[in-house]
Amino acid sequence: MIKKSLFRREVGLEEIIPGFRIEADFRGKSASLVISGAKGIKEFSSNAVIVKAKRGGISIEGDALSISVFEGGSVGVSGEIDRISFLDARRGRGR
Amino acid sequence: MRVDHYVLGYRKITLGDEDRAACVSALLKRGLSAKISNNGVFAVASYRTKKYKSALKRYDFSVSEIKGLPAFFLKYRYRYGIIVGIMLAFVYIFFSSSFVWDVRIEGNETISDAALREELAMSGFDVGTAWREKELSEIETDVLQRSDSIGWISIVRRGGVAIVTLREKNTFSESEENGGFSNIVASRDCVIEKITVRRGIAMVKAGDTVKAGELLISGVIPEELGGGFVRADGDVYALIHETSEVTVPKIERSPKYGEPEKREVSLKIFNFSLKLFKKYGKVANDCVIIEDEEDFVLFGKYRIPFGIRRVYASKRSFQTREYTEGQMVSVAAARLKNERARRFSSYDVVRMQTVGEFTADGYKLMTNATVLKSIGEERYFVRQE
Repeated sequence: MIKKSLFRREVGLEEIIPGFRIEADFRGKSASLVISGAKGIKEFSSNAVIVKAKRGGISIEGDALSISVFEGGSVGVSGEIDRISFLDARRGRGR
Repeated sequence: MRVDHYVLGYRKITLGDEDRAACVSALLKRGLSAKISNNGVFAVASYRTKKYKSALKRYDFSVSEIKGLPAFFLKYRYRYGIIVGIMLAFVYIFFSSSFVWDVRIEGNETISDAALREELAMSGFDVGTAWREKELSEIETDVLQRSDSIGWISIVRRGGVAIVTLREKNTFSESEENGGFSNIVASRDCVIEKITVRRGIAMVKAGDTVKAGELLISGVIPEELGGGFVRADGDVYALIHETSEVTVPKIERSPKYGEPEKREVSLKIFNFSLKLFKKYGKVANDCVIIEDEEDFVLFGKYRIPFGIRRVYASKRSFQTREYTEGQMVSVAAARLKNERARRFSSYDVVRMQTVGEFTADGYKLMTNATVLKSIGEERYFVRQE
């Protein structure tokens, strides 16, 4: 049985659950993005951040990553972002 | 870093490496905001530290000592000088904004900055004047009424600096109002050497002898050349004889100044003067007082309303010197050289003859020079209908 966890699978933005919104601002090599509707942080290191949402998550890989937590459940990630991928939890439920 | 954190004081919270993600999740769940750097450190206002400690109590973290201004004051709480100094600085900043820091002048072509500053000072407006002392429009009107050469002036306040913009009166346009026509006449009796006409009709030629006021270039065009009136323009040169002489007495009494002695040093702040040093005691009658004022300038361009004023007293004595004949000649030659440079440097010298003679009480050296000098003088006239 597959444990309930986040599986790496590329998904389109239209598949992201409502309330899961990303605003990004790129300045040269560095970028910052704000994720609304975050439920928690699964991983946080200077190279990777995984933000959990209600039915999925978003993985940000890069360098010198820092996190900002805002009142109301928004999470900001800034630093040199190399890759952003959306993670789907539905396969964990056997779908 | 937020300004309110500095002002009200803040603490730095460092999250443990193991639980970093869980700590951030805990803050998110509690609705507490934080900007966490990649090494897991974030700043919290000191009055909110309790909430964060409570949210993170299950995890590994450390809290720093209080930082910011409260920490500074706590550290130096017994150093009263710092606190008094800061308070004085605030008082100074508050009061200094009420005064003119600098006067910057724009748009002047023939009027010098110094002359205009003097005009403004006569109207009661200078560096150090209180902004509220006088209405700027009153000063503008005052300057315009007194000056013949300023056509328009505007004073604008930009921070502590007064920007003075002006337009000078155009003498040519004024003459144009009177018709704009002119003749060129001789300024003195002479023999014409060279005449160049750019506009108008030449009335004399090279070699003619003219008297002062005689017409040289006419602005009236004769009927056979089309008629009409113009503003005459051209150069008329004549050979003029000039004499320059110096006399060196055999026994000369000249003043001699001693080493300047510092009497007073003061710091100028706007219109106020703060004495830093003063030597008391009466200054001897035979002393000369030398005042030296030095204004501070930023980037070699912007004058600021601070400066140093120094007063020196220099003892003056007279020395009597007796020259030999050879010394009289050499002193006279040196003085005449300076005199000639002063008088003839702007002219073309055609011929120069220097003669010297010993007189009963000294030596006289004289230069007779013939110089090429412009003698044309423009005279405006109004056309009679």
